[in-house]
Amino acid sequence: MVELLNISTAATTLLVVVIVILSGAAIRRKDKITDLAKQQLHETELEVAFQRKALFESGAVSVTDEEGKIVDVNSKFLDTFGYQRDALIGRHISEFYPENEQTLSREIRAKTRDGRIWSGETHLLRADGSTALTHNTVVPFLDGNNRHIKNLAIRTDISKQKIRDNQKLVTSAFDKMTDAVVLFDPNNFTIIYMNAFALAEHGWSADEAYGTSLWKTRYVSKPTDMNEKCKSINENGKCTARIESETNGKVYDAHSYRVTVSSDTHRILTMFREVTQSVELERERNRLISIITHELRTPLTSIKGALGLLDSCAMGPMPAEAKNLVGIALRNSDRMLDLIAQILEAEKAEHDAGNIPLEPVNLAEVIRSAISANQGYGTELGITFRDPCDTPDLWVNGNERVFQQVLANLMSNAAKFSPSGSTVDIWAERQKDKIVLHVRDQGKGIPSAIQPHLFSRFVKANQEVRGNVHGSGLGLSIVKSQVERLNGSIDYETAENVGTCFRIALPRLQGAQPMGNALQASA
Amino acid sequence: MPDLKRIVHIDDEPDIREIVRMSLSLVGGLDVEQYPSGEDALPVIADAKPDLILLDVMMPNMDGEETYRRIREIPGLENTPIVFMTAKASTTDLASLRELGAVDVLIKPFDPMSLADQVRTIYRNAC
Repeated sequence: MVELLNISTAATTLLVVVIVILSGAAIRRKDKITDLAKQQLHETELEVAFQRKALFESGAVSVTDEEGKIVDVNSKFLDTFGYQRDALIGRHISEFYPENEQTLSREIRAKTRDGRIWSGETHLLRADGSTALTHNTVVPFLDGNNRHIKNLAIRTDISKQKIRDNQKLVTSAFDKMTDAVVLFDPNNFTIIYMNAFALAEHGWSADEAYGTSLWKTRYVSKPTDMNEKCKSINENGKCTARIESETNGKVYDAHSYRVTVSSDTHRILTMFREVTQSVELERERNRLISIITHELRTPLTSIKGALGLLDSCAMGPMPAEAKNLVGIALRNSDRMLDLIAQILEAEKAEHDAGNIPLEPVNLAEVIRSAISANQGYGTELGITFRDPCDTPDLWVNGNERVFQQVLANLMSNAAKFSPSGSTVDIWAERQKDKIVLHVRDQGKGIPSAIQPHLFSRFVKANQEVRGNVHGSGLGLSIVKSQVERLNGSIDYETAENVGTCFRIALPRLQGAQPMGNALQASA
Repeated sequence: MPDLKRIVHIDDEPDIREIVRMSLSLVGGLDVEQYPSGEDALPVIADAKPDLILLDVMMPNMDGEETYRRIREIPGLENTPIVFMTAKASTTDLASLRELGAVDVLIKPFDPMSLADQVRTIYRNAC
């Protein structure tokens, strides 16, 4: 169909060109002809007239004067674009081009004024306000002095063809997908379209699928699956639901989108992605977490309890060497408990995704609390935490508990990798429309080998840490995911033997500061 | 206010029973009677006349929650303070145990040197 259209368009263009050449030749050579030539010219003019008639009947033709005002249109033009002749004559052709093609309209006129033919796709406003996509050939007419006197434009409405081409493109893209795509009517849940993957899964042809109830597919077997879980589609035009199919026992994530056909007609396009395996993995992960929480902590309770009783000499005095060994065992059981706690914390952060309540938080207070809460740990390692800028009140949308978790992780990391007697600075400042929170240490810097994976789980710097303090390699992974949940981003600068500075950029809270603070400020 | 003297402890882990016994008895000076399961404890627990019951949550067959409900049906033990001990420390887990009626929940691992003091404080607050 596309090829036919192209051939037809090309033929029209050629026809127009032939007419113009012949017409132009006729005009220019009119004064020099002989009687014989007159006869030949008469025949040529008859031919031209015939071809012109054919042209006027086949395409939507408009004739404009040298200024671009419409002087004539054929009936095909009126039929195609829905105008009355009187509404067109005398008006400038550019008035019928959409706003974004005004420049193109000027370019066409400039080119044709130079006697050159223009051909290409343009839009034209229909009488009902809609826009038609046309293939347009504009041919200039020149007088004997090569002066541009008028344009003849012939248009073919290719809107429908273009839509069909686009539809083909979209369906061909859907057919390449390895997820099932189904378009259905939400009024009666009958299928309008299924992509190749979905058809193959059901062993249906496109014709067999058309008109079949959605409930006969392997994805959803009863209306409640879709209706109950997909109420939000009426509010925001899309929804995601996890559906456990009763037909084949598989689990699907159904991503649905409302497609508007006209003001009162809608369709639902749903992509069914099978997630059975990942759901199984998630269940397995939860089981593992349960094992970690209970099965590891329970024996550790016995180990730590027994060691604690020994260490306190509740069972009687111990030789110094034995007490030293018990101390080593106690520290390591504490370390294992910390690791378990961090793994649980990471899993909890993952599980809580999207469930963190956000509220106005003053970063100045967050920093003060964090320094106070973590200074004891810092002192053990000979580190001083301080706010070098005495951060002023800076409000962001966040969560106090999450900020404390993030800062505790960054501050303990900074302390672990900094030399005793050094300082770790924590401050916040405004940078354009962001608030940036900094944690800067004076440590050895982050080794370049681990930098690309720094925020991944279980990544640890192969550096000497002090005070026998070991990390789980989960801290920065937790920090990154928590920062992202606060709509922020994290990056860092590091230099060998100079230190590292982590920066957390957060959107500045728009509007007035919270009432409580405003009252305090004015008091 | 009556003194806390006698505690019944139910836990399926023999090592933890031993640590708890030493912590409460040896360090804390309390009388402790222990059972490895709810099934073992229920027929005789009333005779022990406990002032307070320490109850593990995750036990095979009859878990801590079921054991709790059965104890409450035993005449004389309807109001005896029951404290759960658990390694499951999530907020949801703790909330559901308190909702059941436990006077408190102790998280494992616990400090063996201060367990008796913790239990005494819980007992005082519960009475």
